[in-house]
Amino acid sequence: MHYRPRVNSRSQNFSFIKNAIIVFAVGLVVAVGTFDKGFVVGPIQNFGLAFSAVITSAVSKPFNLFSSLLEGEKLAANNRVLNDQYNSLVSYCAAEVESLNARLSEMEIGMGRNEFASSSNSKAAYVIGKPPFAPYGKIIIDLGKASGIEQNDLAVVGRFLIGKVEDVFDKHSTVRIFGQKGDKDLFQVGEKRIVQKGEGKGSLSYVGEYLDADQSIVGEMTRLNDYPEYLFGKVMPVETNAGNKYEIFWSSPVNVFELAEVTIIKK
Amino acid sequence: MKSVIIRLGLDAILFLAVFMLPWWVSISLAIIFSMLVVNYLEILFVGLVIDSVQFGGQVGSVPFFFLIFCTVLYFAVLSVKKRIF
Repeated sequence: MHYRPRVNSRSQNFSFIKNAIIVFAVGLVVAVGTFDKGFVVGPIQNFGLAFSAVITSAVSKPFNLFSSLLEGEKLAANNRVLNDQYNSLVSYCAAEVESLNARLSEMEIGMGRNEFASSSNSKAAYVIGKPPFAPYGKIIIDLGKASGIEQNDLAVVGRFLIGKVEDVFDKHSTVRIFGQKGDKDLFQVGEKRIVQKGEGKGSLSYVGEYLDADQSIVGEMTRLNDYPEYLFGKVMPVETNAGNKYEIFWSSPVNVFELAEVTIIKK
Repeated sequence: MKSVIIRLGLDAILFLAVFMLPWWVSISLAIIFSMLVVNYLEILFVGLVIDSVQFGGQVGSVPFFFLIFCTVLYFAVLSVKKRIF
């Protein structure tokens, strides 16, 4: 036996009226909406937009906070990596600078520059020209009386002596290069420091008579007898001259043609 | 009182869904809720909002399709429930 609730005619009437009102209301909305869509749809759309904006911002705020926290963590990690890189670069650069300084001082020792450069008696001078009518016999340097340069001060390149200060002016000086034709100087030749008379053969080169054909002297260094603490030049192969005499020739390794800087040392 | 609170809770869920979720989710929820709640007239509101917000008042060439569909659904559910209970 099925149970079915009793429905009286009053409630049936109410239900019918209610349904009729619903159908009428829906029909009215559809009719009005068809005639003027904006009138029905507009307010609901505006409300929907405002409502979704509020909901979206309310939902996105915690996400934004979370993502900013994650971003901060990422930035901190990047910062740590950059700091590590910076520190390793700093130590690398310091090591490089140290090794470059070591190499520089090695090279300076090799070139003999710092032997005299550290001395208070020396000054570095730039070659600013050559006087006319003395093509390679003299050079002009940019230091003069104002810099404390005096006559007969020595001009040195590396460990090699190249000339003496001849004329001193207020702001420049001239240096006479050794080995000009007609110069006669005494030299110490080789390890044994055999004193040899040399005759100038042109800028920074001398020729002298020698006792025998001993070639072992070739490549030995020569020094001016008056300034034995400086080198002058290298001995070239022994030759015989026209009078069947042996002669040696020594020349400075310094290229006068390309000379740009000299060290002036007080006598 | 408890049933009123439940109804208000379901209304709130449907209200959020109809503005934030796709139409088929809202319609599914509306059908389920109309089966649970007596005289669930809110389903008409769901139809009207879907029409206005998601379809601009016209689905294809049919104006207020979802409002009409939800009205039919309302009466269908009412009828089914009357036959079941």
